[in-house]
Amino acid sequence: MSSTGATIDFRSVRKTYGKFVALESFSMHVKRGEFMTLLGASGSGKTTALNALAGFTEIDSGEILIDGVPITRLPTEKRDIGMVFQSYSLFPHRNVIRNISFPLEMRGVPRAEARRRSEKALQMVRLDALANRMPHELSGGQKQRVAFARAVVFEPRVLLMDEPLGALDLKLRETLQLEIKDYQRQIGCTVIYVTHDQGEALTLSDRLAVMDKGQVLQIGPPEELYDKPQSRFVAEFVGANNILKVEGAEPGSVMLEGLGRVSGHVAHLIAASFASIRPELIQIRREASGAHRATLAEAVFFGNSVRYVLRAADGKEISAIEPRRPGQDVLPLGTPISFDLNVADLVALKG
Amino acid sequence: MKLRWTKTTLLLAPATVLAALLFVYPVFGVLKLSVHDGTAFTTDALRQVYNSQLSIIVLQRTFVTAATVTGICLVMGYPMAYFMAGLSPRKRVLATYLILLPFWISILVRTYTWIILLGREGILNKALAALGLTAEPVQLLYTPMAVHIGMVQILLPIVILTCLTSILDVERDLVKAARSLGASPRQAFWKVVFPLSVSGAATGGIICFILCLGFYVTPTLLGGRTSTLIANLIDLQVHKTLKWDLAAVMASTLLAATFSCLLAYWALTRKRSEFATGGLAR
Ligand SMILES: Nc1ncnc2c1ncn2[C@@H]1O[C@H](COP(=O)(O)OP(=O)(O)O)[C@@H](O)[C@H]1O
Ligand SMILES: [Mg+2]
Repeated sequence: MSSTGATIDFRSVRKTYGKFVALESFSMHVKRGEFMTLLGASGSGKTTALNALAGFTEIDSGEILIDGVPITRLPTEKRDIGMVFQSYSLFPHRNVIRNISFPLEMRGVPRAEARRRSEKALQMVRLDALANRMPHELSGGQKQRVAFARAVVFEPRVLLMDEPLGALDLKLRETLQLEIKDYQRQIGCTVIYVTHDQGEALTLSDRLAVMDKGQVLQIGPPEELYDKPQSRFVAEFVGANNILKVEGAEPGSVMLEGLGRVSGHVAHLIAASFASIRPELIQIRREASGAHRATLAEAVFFGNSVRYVLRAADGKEISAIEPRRPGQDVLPLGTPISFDLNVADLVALKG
Repeated sequence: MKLRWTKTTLLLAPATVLAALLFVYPVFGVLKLSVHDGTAFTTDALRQVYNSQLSIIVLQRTFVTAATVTGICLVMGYPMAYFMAGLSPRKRVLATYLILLPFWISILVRTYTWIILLGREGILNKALAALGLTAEPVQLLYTPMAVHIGMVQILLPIVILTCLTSILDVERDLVKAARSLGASPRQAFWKVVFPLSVSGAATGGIICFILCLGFYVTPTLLGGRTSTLIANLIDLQVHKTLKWDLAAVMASTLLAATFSCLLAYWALTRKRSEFATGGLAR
C-alpha cells in the first residue's frame, strides 16, 4: 500500500448552524504527505472542519481544495478520502476481511484482487489471524486497527481521523499512536488528525493547528507551538505552562506578576499583555541565592522529577519541574527557597 | 440472592396466576375440545374440518390475505419509515403522532369510514361519476379489495413504527463511513442500512401477520361472502351452528400458526441482538 498524498487547502471557510458559528474564516494549508493535527477543546469545530472536507457538511462560504481542485461540489464518495471515526463504525454484519474490502467492492475492484489487497492491509495492522471474526468479537484496539486498515486499503490521497483513540484506555492509546504514525509513514498519504489531547497532538504531528471557537489560533510544528505560543490560549492549552501578567513596562525592564521587576533582554515583552514560562525552565535554589524569593506550596513526586508549586512574594503560584537524582529528597512544604529563570525564556503573549 | 429470588417470585405471582386462569386454562380447554368430545379422545372434529372444502378454502384465504396485507404493509411501511428516519428529531416526533392518530379512534369507527368512502353512494364512486370515468357505481365495498384496504389501514402504523425503530438503530456513523469509503447514497442504503434493519422490519412483518390471522371486524363489515376469514368462520360455528368442536379445531390451527410465527420472531430477534450487543460471543 502506498499513495501519493494530496495537498489540502481550506480557504476562509465559514459554517453556521442557525445563529451559531461553528467555523469562522477557517484557513489552513496541508502539505503533501503531511501529518496535520487539529487540536482544540470539545466544541471548537474540529469535527465540523473534517465533515466539511469529507463532504458530510455543506459550508456557507469559502472553498476547500484537494490538490488544488475545488471539491465543495463533489459528493463524499467522489472525494477519495479515507476516514476513521471514534466510534470505529465497522459494519456489524460483515466480518473483518469483508469490512476491509468494502471500499474496494464499491470501486468495482475484482473479487480476487480485492481479497489480496484487503489481506495485505490486514497484515499491516497485524491482525491477519482475525480475518473471519465479526466486529463484535474484537477488542476496542483491534476494532480501531481494522477501521484504519479499511480506511487506507483503497489508497486514498487523504486520511481523516476524528479522535480515533478517544474511546481507548491510556496504555493502548500510546501504543496505537506509535502504530498510526508508523503506518502513515509507510503509506505516505496526507493525514488530518483530530484530537483534544495535546500530548497526543505533540507526539504525532508534523504540524498542528490549535483551534478555538471555530478559528485557527496558531499553526506550526509541535516544537514551535510548544516553544513559541503566540496567545495565552495556546500557551495554556499546549503543555503545562506558567502565565504571568505583564503589570507594567518601561524601556529596559518590565513588571511581571510573580517575578516583580525583571530587567535585561525584555524588549520582546514590552508590548505584551502576558508572558509565559515553562515549569522546566525554572531553576529552584535551595538557598536564598536566586533572584526571586518564594515558599513551597505543593510538591508532587514523579520518580524522575518533582513538580513543585512555588508561592511567590506577591502570592502568585508558579509551577516548576526539577529533574531528580537518586537519593535526592523532596523538599518539605513551607520551605523558603528562591528561584531563577532566564529572561530570554519568557514568551510574550497576546491577550 | 435468595431474597431477591423470592421477591421476584412474589412480584410475578399475580400476573402468572391471572395469565394461568384467564389464558392458559381456556386455551387448553380449546385444545382439548378439538380432540375430545367430552367422554373420549376423537379425531372426528379434526377430520370434519380438514375434509370440509369450506374450512380449507377459508383457512387458505386467511393465510393468503394475511401474507398479502403484510407484504403491502412492509412495501409501503419500510420506505415511509426510512423517510421518517431522515427527518429532524422534531419533525419525526410530529410524524409519529400523525401516524398514531388513528389509534385513538376505535377499529369499528375506522372500518365504518371505509363504508362511507367505498360504498355505492360513497365519496369515491361519486367522484368517479362526476369525473365521467364511470357510468354507474363500481362495486368497491364487500370485495376482497375492501378487506385488504381496511386491514392495511389498521396495521400500517404498527409496521411503520417497527421499521422506524430498526432503521434508527443503525448508527448514523455507519452511513458516513460507507459514504467516505466510496458508497453512493443508494449503495450505502443497500449495503448497510437495509441489511442491518431488514430483520427488524421482518419482526414487524411477523407481528402484522399474526394480527392479520385474527382479524374479525374488518372482513365482517367490509367483506362480502367471498372474503370470509377464519375468525368469521369460528364465530359462525360458535354462535350460529353451535359446533364448538369444529370452532376449537380452527382456533387450534390458528394458534399453531401463531406459535410458528412467534418462533420465527424469536429466532430473528436473537440474531439481531447478537449484532447489537455481541450476544452469544461475549
Ligand atoms: N448539526 C449541528 N447542529 C447544530 N450545532 C452543531 C451541529 N454540529 C455541530 N454543532 C455545534 O458546532 C460546534 C462545533 O462542533 P464540532 O465541530 O463537533 O466540535 P468538536 O469536534 O471540536 O468537538 C459545537 O458547539 C456543536 O454544538
Ligand atoms: Mg468532535
